[in-house]
Amino acid sequence: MVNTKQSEFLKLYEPVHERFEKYCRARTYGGYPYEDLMNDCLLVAYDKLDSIKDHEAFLRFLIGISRRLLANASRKMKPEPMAESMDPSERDNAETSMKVQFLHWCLSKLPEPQKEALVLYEIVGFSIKEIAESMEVTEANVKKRLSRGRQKLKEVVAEEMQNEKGVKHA
Amino acid sequence: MPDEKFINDLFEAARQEPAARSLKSVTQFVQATGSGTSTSLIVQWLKQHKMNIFISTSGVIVATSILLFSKPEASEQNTLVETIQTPAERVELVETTETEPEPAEEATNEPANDAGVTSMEVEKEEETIVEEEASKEEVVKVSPSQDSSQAQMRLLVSSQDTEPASTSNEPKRAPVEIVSQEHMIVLESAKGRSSVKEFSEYLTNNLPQLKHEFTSTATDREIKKFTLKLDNGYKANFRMQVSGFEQLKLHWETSEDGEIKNVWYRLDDKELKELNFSKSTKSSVRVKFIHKDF
Repeated sequence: MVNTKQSEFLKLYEPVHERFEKYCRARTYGGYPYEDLMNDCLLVAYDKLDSIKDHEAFLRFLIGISRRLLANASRKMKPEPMAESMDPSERDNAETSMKVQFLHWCLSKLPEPQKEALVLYEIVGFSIKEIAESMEVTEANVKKRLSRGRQKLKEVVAEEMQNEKGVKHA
Repeated sequence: MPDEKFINDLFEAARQEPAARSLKSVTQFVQATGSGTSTSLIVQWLKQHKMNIFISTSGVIVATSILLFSKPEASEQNTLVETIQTPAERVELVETTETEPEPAEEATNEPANDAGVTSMEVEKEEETIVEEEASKEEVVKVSPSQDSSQAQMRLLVSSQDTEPASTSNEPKRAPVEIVSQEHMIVLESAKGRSSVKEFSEYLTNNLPQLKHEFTSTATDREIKKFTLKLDNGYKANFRMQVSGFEQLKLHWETSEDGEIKNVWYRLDDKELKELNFSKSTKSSVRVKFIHKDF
């Protein structure tokens, strides 16, 4: 019984693993450890497996749970700025790794709705329609969040690059 | 201000980068939690009872200090905490808040000296808990936590499902019985079901890889000490002194090629210990508590 449920769960999970993992990493940078978020989310999802009606939307289901967990955690936890969420030495491509880390750091400075929309659109690969359904907002609203989020991200990136230059010159 | 291309490159890197956490680790985690008991629940319970536990990133539980057992007598309750380092593939947790007193009938029918030991010896043995000769791990006695009362934690760490063990209310069984397909045999010396000698013979015939040596009481109904060794270079010499017990459940797991991987045992449904065989002289002992109905 348990094994059947596990198999069913893992069958649904396997195709979305990478995108879910990337979502968790991007959304938790500097705060909730992404492995914990994944684990907690998987536990909830596993318990509620029977309630899933649309298996095609399993990733959206996981992300919905993650979002609620993050919201709960943000009330309890104080984010630790610049916490290392990954070890670059473990990655094949250090340059890519540094870029991703930098992106996660910059995303962590964005307002939650904009960050969520950007991560789902740019990293997870959701369509605007899917994001709208997942976040329970209109598509127009998603577009607005994406546009503003991207603009804000540019500002944060510029600021961080400026700070970095300042440090180097000093 | 960075241009669009720079931002796009960042997102592209995030999309292209391989997952930091492997699917395998998630699979292990799901399998570990498949019993329906969440790791967070276990951690919460352990913290309440002032025990430390760590969970690795793969979701595998690696405990450092864990409750070994609570003595049934409330007034003399002791808690033994032993250091363990055991990756758990599956965990089941049951908290019991009541003890199971010895049935009066048994006490009447089976006085201590029936087993061939004097009352003085019995008293002395009851105060002895467990002595790990081979293990260098620290063993610490601590006072029971305030809210634990007589709670016992039973933690099953296993990769296989097991059948529930029979209880004493069931019909009389063969002297040595295979309880489940997961290689478990039970020695019940009480009620004349089997003797230590029979148990030993069974092991010799059915588990030749596992060399054993038992020291029993005069009536051959209670094991006083035993040593286990594997015949393939691995050893976990294990000698224990414990109060006379009536039931020993010995479990073992074998690899696909039939080699013994793990051995663990349980005495009188109270404590379950696992022997970790290794080629080094220092063997670690893994302590496990099992489900009430195991």
